[in-house]
This record gives sequence, structure tokens and C-alpha cells, in this order.
Amino acid sequence: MISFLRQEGIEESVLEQVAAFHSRFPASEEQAHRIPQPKFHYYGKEIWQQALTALLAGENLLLVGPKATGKNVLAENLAAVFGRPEWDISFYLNTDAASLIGTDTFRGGEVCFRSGPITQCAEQGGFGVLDEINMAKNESLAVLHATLDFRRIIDVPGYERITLRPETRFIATMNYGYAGTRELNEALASRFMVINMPIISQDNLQKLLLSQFPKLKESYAEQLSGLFQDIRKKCDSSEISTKALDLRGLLAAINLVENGLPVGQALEMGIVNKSFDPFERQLVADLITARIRQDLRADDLFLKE
Amino acid sequence: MNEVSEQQRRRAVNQIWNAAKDYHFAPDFKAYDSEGSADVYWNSIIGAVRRHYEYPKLAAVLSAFQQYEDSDTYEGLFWLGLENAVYQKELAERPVLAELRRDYAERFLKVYGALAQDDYHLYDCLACAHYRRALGEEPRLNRYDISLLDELEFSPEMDTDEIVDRAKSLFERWFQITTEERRREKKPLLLRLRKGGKQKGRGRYRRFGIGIVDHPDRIYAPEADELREEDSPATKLSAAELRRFMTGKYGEAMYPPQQIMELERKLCVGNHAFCHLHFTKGVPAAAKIQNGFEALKKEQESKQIERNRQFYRDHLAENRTAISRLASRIQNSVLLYLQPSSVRSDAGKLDGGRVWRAACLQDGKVFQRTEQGNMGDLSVDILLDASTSQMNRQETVSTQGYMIAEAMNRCGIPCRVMSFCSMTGYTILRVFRDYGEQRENDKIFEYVSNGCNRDGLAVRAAHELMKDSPYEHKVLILLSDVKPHDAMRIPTEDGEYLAYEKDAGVRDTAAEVRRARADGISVICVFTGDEADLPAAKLVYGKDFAWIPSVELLADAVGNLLQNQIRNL
Repeated sequence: MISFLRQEGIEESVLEQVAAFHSRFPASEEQAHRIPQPKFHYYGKEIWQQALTALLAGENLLLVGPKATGKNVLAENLAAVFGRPEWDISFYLNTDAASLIGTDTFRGGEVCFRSGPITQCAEQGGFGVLDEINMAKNESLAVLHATLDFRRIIDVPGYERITLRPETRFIATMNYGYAGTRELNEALASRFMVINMPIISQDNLQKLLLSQFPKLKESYAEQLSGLFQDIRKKCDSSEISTKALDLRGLLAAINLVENGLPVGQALEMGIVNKSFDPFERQLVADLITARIRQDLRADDLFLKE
Repeated sequence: MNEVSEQQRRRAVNQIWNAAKDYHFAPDFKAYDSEGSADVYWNSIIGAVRRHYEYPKLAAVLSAFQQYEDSDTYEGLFWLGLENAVYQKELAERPVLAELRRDYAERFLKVYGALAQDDYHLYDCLACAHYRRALGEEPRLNRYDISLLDELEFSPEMDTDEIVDRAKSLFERWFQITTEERRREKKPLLLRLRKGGKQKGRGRYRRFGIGIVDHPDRIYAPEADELREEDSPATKLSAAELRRFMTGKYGEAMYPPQQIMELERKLCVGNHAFCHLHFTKGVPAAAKIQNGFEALKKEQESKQIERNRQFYRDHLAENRTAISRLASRIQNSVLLYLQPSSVRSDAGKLDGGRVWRAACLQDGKVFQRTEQGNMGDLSVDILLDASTSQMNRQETVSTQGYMIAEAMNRCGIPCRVMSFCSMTGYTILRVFRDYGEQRENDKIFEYVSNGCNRDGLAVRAAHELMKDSPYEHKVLILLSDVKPHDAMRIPTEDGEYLAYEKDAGVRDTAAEVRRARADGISVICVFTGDEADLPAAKLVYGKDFAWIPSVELLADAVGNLLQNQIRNL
């Protein structure tokens, strides 16, 4: 990871501090399986610089951006860079204090406390990724206030008061303005440093495609990333929903092509069929027709050995 | 010629927008294949033409053709020339166009390439040669025609003005026609009549290449001022007479005069200064109708009301299916997201009454866990645009309103249905049914359009009414064509007056919608208008609107919108 960051042009001084963080807080062997091994890298020097600096300074991060801007990729990458175990906590409408902090349970004939992911993360000095934090109701997030601000504690009524280990960090992600999301209240937002995730540029997307598929011909990387921008444009003007704007789907589709499926079928599975409305599927299929031939195969898209 | 379905129309528009990389215009010229399916290749070309050239200048040339008998030929040829240029311009960015073009050329030649020489129409002849060239074959034309084709196939290096100049000289020399519009100043009426008569015979969908194009009457026209009916015989009346007139025409006021004055003082300010409001439930006024004109109007209205009901009855089966589909979708999302429930679980809050089970039965589920989510009450207000611009859609709009209200009834969600229109400074809000009046849905068919529409003031007034609603969560659904237009102008700060229409009207409406949203009211729009006004709808409602070209799509679109809103509660 560090060499990748150096390539991206992150300042040496920051990288030195990251190294210092490593030596100060080495991960134990039991934690090793929780340290992520990222499959994708996040591209974008400025965002990296901001995120690293904030985390080094002990702040928590809130990554805000629409779909397919790499929020989760960056969060995972950060845990990997700092070499800390990661807890993935997905928020949903009914997320409540019990599911975050923990709750009473019955074990061996007596009531005891079963700790939730936030508590575990705090006790082991991990990186907690609070995914889609704005899906939950603000009231149920109030329990996190003391955890996320300068107090850095978790106070469970009737149990011990838990103090966060110093290397604990929380990285929240949110997708603003989409269905099912709500406004994050100020009390919670003020406990994070906020990064507005930029939409991946066509160049960076091309870079990403080429790094994932080194043998992909550059001309096709350009067309596929162009296709993705076309879809985004259609979403932005609300002609279609964001279901087809699926970067994971695009990557998976290219993977299928490499494994022998024709382009048309692979993109249908990876992108077109993500939408369940027949008319919307038609619109997305048209975008593909206007970008790339459907009957191309691995031999056409990829360089030979 | 085949009719083109609404879906294919929208698909064609999307293909054009995509190629143009711009979603802020309403394409006038759209291409379909002979089956009426949107043609990806030609629509991509049409969109790319918009991207690379100044379209209004080209449209002026195309528009000038319309005054001639052979306009289809000229138009076809001109597009052929444009295709030649823009294809080469686009190729670098979209290599796939080579494939699409080859495919199109092959299809074209399959249909027209084999015709006997005598059957050739000039357009076919040149188009065959053009597409043969595209396939890298010999054009098979005589020398005379080849030079015409050479001249017609515009080169990608030319800019808009060069193309327009070339077209001018080309069409003048070869066809003795002018590409400049001259009908405006000379005998406009006569030409218009001639044109109207001819175009009726040719129909809206005409042949284009191997398929057809959508050729509405106003094609290539720069955005023309909409002609609107201003049926206001009452302009010369005094204030009191005017209010009496409104009462006579629309029904008794819902509120006592004092309250109306207060409401007007509060709402008719800013952009809506000098406007008046009339809230009514349509109860006929005691005063009798005075003149023949009004009597005639009333009679027309009652005929329209009957047509509304008939329209609903004619499609009874489909409509009922749509209503139950919509109702079940709403119910589903309400159930899914908002039902609080308490479940037994092995973790959570200890349930004292069950502890024995753990000790005696080794049953660990002695806890209660509450699934969150009590949404409180939800109410829905429906606001129908009843301006003249909806004149040709009265049956559809009333049916849509009725269907939504009916679906709300089935879900037990209180619902109020209103319509709005404006006349001589008055904005009239007609309430068809109120929250408690589940049995009054039939009144929605009394929806009749007339007058203008001051959308901003209507939203403001509805917003005000909704403030008094006893329910915790409020949703406002507008059925509108987003074409605000009213005779009362907007006073600006520097003492000028701005017409309440187009941009100014749209901006004002957008501001009112945002104000309502800021107050916690979810505002969504069911867009009933023409696609030309889509950009305006997007501006006003953001993502919260659905474009429903036909009634069948209502249930899904409104269901989707409402689901999103309910999820956000």
C-alpha cells in the first residue's frame, strides 16, 4: 500500500507518520485476519492526503458522495494503510443502540452483556466503517455521540464504562439525497471531518480499469469508461434510476468477458439487468449499443500474451 | 405508417440526449425504424449534430424546406449531408458508430438498392450511392448526380455557417429553392393555410431512410410563444363584482371573507403581489348565472365532466388494476418500513415473564426486541393543474387524480384533492374532497380546465392549507405540465414587471416547492405535459418527479415516488 501511495504522490512526511503509527500500534496476530487486503486502490491524491492527515490527527472521517465514488474502497484502503483491523457496520433503518453497542443476553444461566461491533472495535483499537450512516434514524445514533467526540468513551447503562483505545478510528460513509437516506443531524456531523468524494473522472476510471485488467486494450478501456459516464449523465438528469450506475457491475462484467463471455451478455448481466424496469433496461442497452459492439469477445478486448 | 408508441418516443429522445451529451433541450426530430422502434444510429447522429453545430441555424434551413412540396426530399438530403460530416467527427469518440453505420447502410441497400432504375426517387438514388460509399463500394451514379452527392456530403471540417452557406448555394442551384425563410413577412396566413392542408395529408410520421421520423407540426420552429386562451370576460369588473364573478363561476368560497383577507395578506406578497385567492369546494353559488356566455361555458363544463367519467369507465378494468397495484405498492412500503413490532429474541430487553423458560427449557429466547419505526400519520394532498394548457388532457388528468385518491383510500391514508387555475388575477383552489371524505372521490371528475396557471401561488396556498393539517407527515403530489403562465406579472425590485411565464414562472414555482420542502412537506410531481417542458420539470422538482406519458404507467411511477418518500419519513 505504501508504495502505491508513494506512486500517487503523497507527501513523504505523511507517509513517515503513517509508518510511525504502525510501529506504535502494531496489530496482534489474532487481529491479522481483520486487516483488509484491498482488491481495488482508490485513486485521487488530494483525497488521500486529506484522509490520511485527518486520521493521523485522531479525527473521525465522514465520506460523502453519490454512488460509485469509491467511498467504501477508500475506507477499506485506509484501514489497510494503517494496518488496523476493520469492522464493517452497515446501518439500516432499524439500527438501534443495541445493535451498535451491544445488549443483554443470556449465557450459562445468567444475563450478561454481549458486545456489539462498535464496542468490539473500540476495545481492540480497530477502524470502524459505519456504512451508509444516514440510513439509520438520528435518534438511534445519539448513543454514538460520546464515542465519536473528544470523550472517546462508550457508556453502557448497567455495565462498565469503556474507553476507546487511542488507535481507534471511525470512518462513516453516506450517500446523500438518494432514496431511503435522510439528513444527518448536526450533532452527529460535527463529530466528523467531512470529505466530499468527487465523482470518478473518466481518466481515473480508465486508470482503474487498466490496473484491474492490465491486458485490457486502452481503446476499450476508454469506451467502457465513456459508457459509464454516459450512464451517469442519464442518471443525473433523472431519466433512469441509479441502479445501472454500478461500477462493481462494470468491473465484474469485464471480468466475465476476460473469462469468455461476449461483451453484450456480460454487460447485460453486470449493468443492464441491475435495473428491474424493462423500459429503463432498454435505455441502458441503447447506451451500450452506442458505445461498443455487443459481439466482441476476450480476443478483441484484451491484448494477447 | 406505423404509430410510434410513447415509450419508443422517449427512448429516441434519450438516445439523442446521450449523443448530444446534453439533457436540456427537447429534440424535435426523432428517427425510428419501420416498426416504430427508436433507431440508435440515426438518433445518435441527430444528437451529435446538436453537439457539434449550432442547431438553430441548421433548423432554420430545415424549417425553410417545409414551405415546399418536396420538403421531405430536401430534408432527407440535408440530413444525409449532415450525417456524412458528423459521423466522421464522432468516430474518434465512438468507434462503434462505424459498425452501426455499416449495419444501417446494409439494411438500407437491402430495401432500396435493388429497385429498378426508373423507380428511384431522387432521394433514394442519392442515399443508395451515399451508403454504398459508406460501405466502400462504387456509388453507381451518373456523373451529374455524383457531383451533386459530392457537394452534399459535407466535410467534417466545415463549421455551421459554412454548412448553411453550402446548403444555400446547393439547393438554389440544383433545386431552385431558397433555404431562407421568407414566409413570415409575406402573406403569413395564406402560407400557413397551405402548409396546414398539406401536412395533414402527409401525417405526423413520415418516411426517413429505411424508417420513419416523428414530424410534428411545429418542427424546427424556435420555441414559439404558446397561444393561450384567456377567457376572461370579466376584466372590466370592479373588485367586488370580480369576487362575485368567481363565486358564480367556481362556487361559494370555503372561508369567510375575513379569513380570506388574512390569507391574501399573508400569501399574496412578493412575486404574487396584487393577486387574489379563491378557495372553494364547488358548492354552486346562490346567485344565478347572468349572461349567455357563462351559461354556454357551464354547459361545456358539464359535458366535459361527463367525458371525464366516461373516460374512466371506458378503461375500467385497467384502471382498477392500476389502482390496486398502486395501493398494494404503497401498503407494502408502509408495512415494510414503518410497522413497529416487538419480537422474541435471544438478546435485548429481558422479559421477566419468560425467564423460567431459560432455566427449565434451555430456551434462550427470553428477551424482547422492538423493531423501530412508528411513522405517525401520513396525509397526501393532490393538486391538479387545471389550466387551459391541460385542455386536451382533462380526461387523463382527472382519471389520474381519481386513481391516486382511490389508492389512498384503500391504504387508509387521508387524502385531499384540489385543482388550481388562475383568472384575471385570481388563483382559484377548488377542493374536490377533503381528508375525511373518503366517499367523495367521484367529485374529482368535476375537474375542468380553464384559465391560466400561477403554479407558484397555488403551491404556496396548498402549502398554507397543509400547515393546518393535523397529520405529522405530509406529501403533496402535483399533477402538472410545469408550464406556469399567468396574466398578472411579477413586480421586481427596480419597479419593472416580469411576465409570469417561462423562466420567471418556473423559477418562482421552484422556489415555492423548495419552501414547502423546507417545511417538511414532501413535494412530488406527476408530470403530465409535453417533453419540451421536461427540463423545467427537472428544475422545479429535482429527482422527485415522474414523467407519465400514458395512464398505464401511473401506478408504477407514482408507486415508486411515494415509496421513496415513505422511506424517508
